[in-house]
Amino acid sequence: MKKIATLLIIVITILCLAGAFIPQASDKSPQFIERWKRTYPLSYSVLHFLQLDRVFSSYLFVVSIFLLFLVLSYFLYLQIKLLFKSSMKVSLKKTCFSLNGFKSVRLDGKTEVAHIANFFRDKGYRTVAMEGNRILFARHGIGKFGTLIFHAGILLVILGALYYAGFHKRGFVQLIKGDTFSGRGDDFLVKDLGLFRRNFDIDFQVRLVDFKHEYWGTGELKNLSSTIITANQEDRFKKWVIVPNAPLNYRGISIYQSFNYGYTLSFLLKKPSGEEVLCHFSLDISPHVNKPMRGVSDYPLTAYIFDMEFYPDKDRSSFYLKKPMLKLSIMEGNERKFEGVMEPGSEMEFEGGRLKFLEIRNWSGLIFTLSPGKYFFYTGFILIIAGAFFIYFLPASEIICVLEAEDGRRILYLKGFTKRYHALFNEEMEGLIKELAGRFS
Amino acid sequence: MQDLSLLKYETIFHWIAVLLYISSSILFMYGLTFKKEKGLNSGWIVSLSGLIPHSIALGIRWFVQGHGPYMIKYEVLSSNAWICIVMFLVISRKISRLKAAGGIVVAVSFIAMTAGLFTNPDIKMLPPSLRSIWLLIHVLFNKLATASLLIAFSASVLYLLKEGKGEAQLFSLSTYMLDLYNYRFAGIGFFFWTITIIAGAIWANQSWGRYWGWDPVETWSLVTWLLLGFYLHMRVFYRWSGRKAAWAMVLCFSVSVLTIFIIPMVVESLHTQYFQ
Repeated sequence: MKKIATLLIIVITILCLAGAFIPQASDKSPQFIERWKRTYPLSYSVLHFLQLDRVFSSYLFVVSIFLLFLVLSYFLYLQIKLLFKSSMKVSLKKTCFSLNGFKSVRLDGKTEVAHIANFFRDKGYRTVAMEGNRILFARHGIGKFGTLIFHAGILLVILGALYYAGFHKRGFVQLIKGDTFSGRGDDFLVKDLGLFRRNFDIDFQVRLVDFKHEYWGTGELKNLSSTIITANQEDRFKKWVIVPNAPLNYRGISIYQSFNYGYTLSFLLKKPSGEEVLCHFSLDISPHVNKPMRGVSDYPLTAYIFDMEFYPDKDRSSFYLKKPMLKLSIMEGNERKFEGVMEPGSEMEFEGGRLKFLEIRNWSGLIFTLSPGKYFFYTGFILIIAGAFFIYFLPASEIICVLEAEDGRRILYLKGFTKRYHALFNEEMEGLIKELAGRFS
Repeated sequence: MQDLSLLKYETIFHWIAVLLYISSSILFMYGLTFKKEKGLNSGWIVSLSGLIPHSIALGIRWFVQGHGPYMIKYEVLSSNAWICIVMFLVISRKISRLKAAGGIVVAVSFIAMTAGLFTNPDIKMLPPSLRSIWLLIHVLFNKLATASLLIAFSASVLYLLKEGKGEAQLFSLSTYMLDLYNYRFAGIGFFFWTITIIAGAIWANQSWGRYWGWDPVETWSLVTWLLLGFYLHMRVFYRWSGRKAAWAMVLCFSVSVLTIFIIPMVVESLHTQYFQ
């Protein structure tokens, strides 16, 4: 069992290292993966076959975690059995009691068992059992359970993780100010569902009524907040403000303020046929105030590609909408159809039709989650911390004392047991013996 | 943000602290090499006096920027050095024979601090994702874990030195006790590292709605934790001790340094913000 546990720790560590060194498909863009496939086809094929380009969802990783779960369960069972079997109280009651390995100290003839008990109590030891002239003292008794508690905590966290992997739901929406998210699973921009989940529909709608982004004087982001209105099937409307680190919990769903946000540029293209196509391009805010927000995208129902460079303030001194400016380039295939600057509200002739830059609005990223396994995680966390504390800060120790009478004097036989830090405990035992000899001689 | 001109005093106090720590390291080395208890005691007192300007420097920065020193290399290295020295001073006050570890703890701390002084000290304000009580818990316990592992590492290095030279040579602390302190502080470091990971997971869930995202620093942090767990299991399962245990601790400490200081510099990560 020890060998299997050790092997599993090594395997999981190696897999984590593989995940750290080998580019993971979940972290990289599709372009990166394509480039990798083209440049190093052999290494990509081998790693892909071994699932090392997605280590943390690979069969090997999942099986290793599951085996660890089984080993831990068995280990816990053994530990519980051992705790009841190996109690020193049992050995204290034995009629045939060997003093092999005990240290002895000669004491005054008047020394009684009660004196010894008081002495050890002053040293932080508790009298656990007393059988005639034999006493069992213990300190940090809870420490004995440390390993059990710690591993039980890990077991719960693994259970929570397995449950989460099977049943979680997560979705991301880019909500434009004034627009409403329908709550339908298909309307999420990005979705991440557990193995046993098929869709993520929520039973309420969300409307973004306001979005604020604030900055420090240094240009770094200071705060974000989205004001939303939720509406459910019973037609109950509620207004909420969501800020980072304070998710809204509503009807079993947690809604988080994402750190993705920006501006949405809306266009209306009137084709020569008279057909009108409305389109919104949502651009991410740029990391620096003097850099433009960029976006390249197809214009729906046309063959045009819009290449946009947008400044909320053409003086490049603010992230807020002051004097907005858009540098627009429109391509059709390899042919440039337009290149120039547009301002909100402006309209121009375009390819026999008209193109109007309608408006600019804020968009805010909202994350909707349903995270099962919360109680497993939090109970597991508490047990792990408590267990590790008991193991490394409160190492359990026990001392058996036997007080014998001999030639009008008393001889105290002592033997100590501990699982950890033997050198310190041995030193302590020597100190105790010296002090006993000094006090009761 | 308060008056930025105060920051010039911060730099002066930082340099005074560095000079005192250098003197303290020299005294510790003298005490270790020539088995002079006096050298170790003087080293301890000088590092305590170095802690005063160091604390003032960090205090000024905290006051000026309005948040703790955990945002840029300059602050992270300095505050880590501060916690390492405080932990060492407190522990060696209680366990006097551990003063021998000062030669390594104080030296590593002042090297980290000096390296920080040559990086960009510009103030970086807290982004909204970092304004959480879990940040404080996560960061504080990570620093405590680093300090504990540094003490365990020092005990291991001293063990290897003493083993090479012979028990009667160098300082009076026995290899038997050095091995024990390696184990003890590795256990304490493991406990603090565990809280770091858990606090980080709770904070991630509060901030992004997920406990774990396999971010490079998260992954390396788990690797460090697993390595420490492996080492501690080996001590119990297979009675690893002495030389083997000392080398294992050196490896664990090196990986922890890689996780905290190197990975955020070389890999794109959510944690990169704190080490720019």
